[in-house]
Amino acid sequence: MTDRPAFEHFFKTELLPVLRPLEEQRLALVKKIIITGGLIAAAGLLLAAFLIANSVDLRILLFPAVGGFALGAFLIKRMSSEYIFGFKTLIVEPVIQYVSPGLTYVPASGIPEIRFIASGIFRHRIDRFRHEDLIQGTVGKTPIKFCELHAEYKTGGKNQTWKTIFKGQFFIADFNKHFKGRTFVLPDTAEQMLGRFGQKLQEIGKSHGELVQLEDPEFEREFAAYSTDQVEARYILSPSLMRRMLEFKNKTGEKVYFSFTGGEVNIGISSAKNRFEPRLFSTVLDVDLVREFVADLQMALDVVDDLNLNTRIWTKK
Amino acid sequence: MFIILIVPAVLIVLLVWIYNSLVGKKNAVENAFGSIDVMCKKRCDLIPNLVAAVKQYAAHESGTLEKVTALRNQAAAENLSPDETIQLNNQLTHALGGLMVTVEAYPELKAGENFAQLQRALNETEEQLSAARRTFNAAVTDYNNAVEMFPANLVAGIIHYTRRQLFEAAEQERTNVDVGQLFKS
Repeated sequence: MTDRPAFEHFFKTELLPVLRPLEEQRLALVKKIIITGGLIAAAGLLLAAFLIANSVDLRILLFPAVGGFALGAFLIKRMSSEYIFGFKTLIVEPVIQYVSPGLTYVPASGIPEIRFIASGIFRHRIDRFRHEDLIQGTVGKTPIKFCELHAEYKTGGKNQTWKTIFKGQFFIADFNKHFKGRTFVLPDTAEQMLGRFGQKLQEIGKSHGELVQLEDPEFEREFAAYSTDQVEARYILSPSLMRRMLEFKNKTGEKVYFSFTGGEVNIGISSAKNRFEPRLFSTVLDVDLVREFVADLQMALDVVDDLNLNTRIWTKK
Repeated sequence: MFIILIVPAVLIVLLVWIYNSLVGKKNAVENAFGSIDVMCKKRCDLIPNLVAAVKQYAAHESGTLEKVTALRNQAAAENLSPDETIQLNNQLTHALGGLMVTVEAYPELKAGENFAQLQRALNETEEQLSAARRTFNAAVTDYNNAVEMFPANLVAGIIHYTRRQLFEAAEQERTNVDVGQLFKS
């Protein structure tokens, strides 16, 4: 699927004809941005010169400077949104079809907030919720959807700031076994730092259900499992799945959250990277950029194989 | 004077707390054993259908089938002690494993929708049984830790709580399956 010659052929025949006009659009956009930036800067300098000539306190300049930056950022965002949207539909969409035909891609959509909350992983009040790059379809026998999302809350008091609850890729996939309860596998911070005492602390944090003590010591070091049903949790978390989850976590190298609810597995991989975004200040006529998209997508789709979700030997088909 | 009252009071509270947590752990073990029992019964319910399905296509495997049926009947009997339940079900797991390998030689049987369904159901109960066994072992480990660790071991000694056995996977499950051996038996 991603072998080199075939990929290069795909890039040359399918993508390059579309990328060329996009590159022109990008260059025009960069020109516009530079002109706009120059105008704002010139206005700022004029203002500064005027103030200095009238010997006013220069600290006042701070306000127009901040305003100028904000205006600049706003204008850049507005000017580039059309280009970004064009890029995503013209480039990312064919790349996704190339990697796995049958997947659908909606750049401006994502997993709804209510589904994110229903996963039960994050319990904090959400004040701002953003998502993009929804990809959904069936991989093998497993229906799956994933997107990038960012959930935040606002701190109270005088200095209100936005704090991140979760930022990264969020997946919902059909699980290959039937279950009724709710089981959570979360990154274990308490046990890593505090050992056995940390275990006691985990027992106190019961909002996700009862602590489930599993046999795999390495798994126990990385994760803490909670469930509404001890037996069901072990039915879901078979020894082989625990191994696979560990390997998956090591592969991503990020904090990984799992929950098993309503017959589905929800997976959150926190990550600062914004995937499937075009570049503004360097050429898009670059096979490596597209190759990176393919790798990102492949890594996401590999979740199904990594967690062995296509093995359907139990009563759930 | 005050100390003389406080020390025994604290001791009594401590004793009650230790005692209660021991009883709680013992009950958790029994509860976990209950779910093993449920899964074993579920599996026993499946076996007659499975045997009937295999018989249609593989009549001359009657030796293996009879062995499975006999073990199933023993395991399904009421009034088994926990140890007997565990032992019989380990044997049954082994015998069923043998049967499933035998079945590989009968493509028409494996192709049937009915058999496929049964095989899924069997995989399901095996997986559930393994989960129940692991839950039981976790509960027993927790209980054994309490019984042997200071200071709960003092209280455990007084109320005659002793170590419980873990539910080990059957010896055959741990060693690699010797396919040739399975065909002979």
